[in-house]
Amino acid sequence: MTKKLSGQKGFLLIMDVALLAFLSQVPSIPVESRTYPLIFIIASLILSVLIMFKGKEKDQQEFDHSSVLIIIFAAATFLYLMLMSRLGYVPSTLIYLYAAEFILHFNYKKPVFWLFPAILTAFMYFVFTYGLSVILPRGSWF
Amino acid sequence: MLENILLGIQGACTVMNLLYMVAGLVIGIIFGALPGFSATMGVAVFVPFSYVMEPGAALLFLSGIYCGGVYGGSIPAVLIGIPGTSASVPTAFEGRALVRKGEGGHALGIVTFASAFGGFWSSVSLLFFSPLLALIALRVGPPETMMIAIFGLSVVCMLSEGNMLKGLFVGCITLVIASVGQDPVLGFPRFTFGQHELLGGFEVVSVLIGLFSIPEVFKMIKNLDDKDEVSKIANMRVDLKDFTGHIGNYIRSTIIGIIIGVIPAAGPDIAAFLSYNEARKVSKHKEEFGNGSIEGIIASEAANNGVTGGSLIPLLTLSIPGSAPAAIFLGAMIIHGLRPGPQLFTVHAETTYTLLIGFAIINVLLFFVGWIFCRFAGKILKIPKQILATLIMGLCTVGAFAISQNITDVIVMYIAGIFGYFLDKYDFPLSPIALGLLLGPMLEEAIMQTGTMFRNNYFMIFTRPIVDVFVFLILISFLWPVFIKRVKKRAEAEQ
Repeated sequence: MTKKLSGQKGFLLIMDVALLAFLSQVPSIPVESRTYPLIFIIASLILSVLIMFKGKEKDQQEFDHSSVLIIIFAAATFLYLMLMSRLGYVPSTLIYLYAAEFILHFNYKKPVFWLFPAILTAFMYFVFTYGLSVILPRGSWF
Repeated sequence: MLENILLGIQGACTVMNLLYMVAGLVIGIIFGALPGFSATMGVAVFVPFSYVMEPGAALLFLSGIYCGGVYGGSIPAVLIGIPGTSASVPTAFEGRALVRKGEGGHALGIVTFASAFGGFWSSVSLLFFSPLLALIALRVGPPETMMIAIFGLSVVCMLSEGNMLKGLFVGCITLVIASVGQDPVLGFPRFTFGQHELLGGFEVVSVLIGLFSIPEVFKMIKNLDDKDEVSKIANMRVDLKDFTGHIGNYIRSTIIGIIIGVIPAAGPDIAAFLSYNEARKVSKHKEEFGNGSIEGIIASEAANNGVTGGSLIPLLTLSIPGSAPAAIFLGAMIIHGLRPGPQLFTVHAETTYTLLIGFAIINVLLFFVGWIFCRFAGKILKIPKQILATLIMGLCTVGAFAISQNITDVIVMYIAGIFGYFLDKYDFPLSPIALGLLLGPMLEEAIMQTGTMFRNNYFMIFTRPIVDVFVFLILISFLWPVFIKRVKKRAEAEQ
């Protein structure tokens, strides 16, 4: 019978793969610069193995509606990041904030639903552009 | 000296100067409270505005921003569990738990009082002990910095009690992450995977914003329908008992803050963690730490504000800017014709003592301004979670971008957030990440420089008295809990 891989072990395996990727870069680094990180890469790998076999594991939470919401919200956020460099800060933020409210089931009949993203985006734009001289992303499509 | 102090009181207590101090505090608190913004950024942005002011007024205005910025980060740390600055991370551990218990007002009151206390006594030390404390700054070299970093990292063990393996794992992996980018001595690029954006390493502030904000947002989404959430901060009253019952903690934390402030390269974040750890060690209620401990908040806040005055000591006396805001301060002072050093206290006595006295007044004003600010900020708990989550994401995005106007920092922030979410989900402590990122580069650089200093004979470091003191402290910090456990066991056995 195959035993199902627990969430924690899966997470640790991902971490180990990342650490091995780091380890693969070590030979190309001069000796003076590599000793310090190498010690911690090896220590992390050893500790990860120890946790897999000895570490306490938190009870798994059920995958429910809220977990789906989190995944959709995270996906929308990554889409926002991709859009920001294409559309620029103002349009992408407006779209993202409306989408986020919608995903989180905020009542669209309330005026706040429509006002909040517009006010926040405009406020941020003016404060950063004119108050703090920060040039927000302009977008490559325009 | 008394004459100079009276001159300083006269200079600082004009109506205009008091208004500049309040304005500086308000601006600083706003900068500190916004994720991604910091006291340094606030001081830097407002330096050009100070050109048109009198030298004394300009320095008081910038001091107000600096003190307000260090304090401001703790308000969102308490209310929504998101530290505005890295110095407020320990406060976030305790503050949010207290809000959930319905004691948010009390937590904010303590934050404000402890900050004003730490800041005030720090300014008193700036006024009276500058020459003496400057001697410490002169004696700190790479070996001492190395020991400070090791002492700071020993906090990981304390913060991971009961979950040691996971704490050490997170600590080690963070030290690996902190080594991404050019190494501190040769400048050789490490672990960049050919991405030139990673040459400078990961932006610590971006990582910390993501790490502490995004898991909170996800938790909000998870509990969208939770009707039992506290929506009021309740009474902000601080009783006399809140002071007398923790007087040792206030004094110890302030002293830690001042000493860390004096040491170049160590900042309020390191002071907050060290002090939080010391408070936990001596506390009679260790179980409360992480679950809403007032002692933890006092330690963190008194120490991080204690740094403010301390960090100006090497600047004013030796012209050594020990921190980023101090370096900007140096620039502002030079613009106004004031060159730090021993002459500052004689040739420019009026302006200097106006600053020193004003610094103490700013910390008294901080208590009142902070109190009013918290009253308004408390309304944040009434905001629907959907709006709050959206607001946090919007602020974090623009905050992370503003650090170096680079979209990579925003991506790093989101990845750190997701990493933090899974760490939290599988019960890995988050605090070692903050410590590792802050102390990792400092430790590596100090190790390499110490090696060069003593031709890799590291035993030579024990010839330096400050190093010996730190070795003793590190040993005590590891052995003390074991000793206490044994004493308790023996007492229980005897009973």
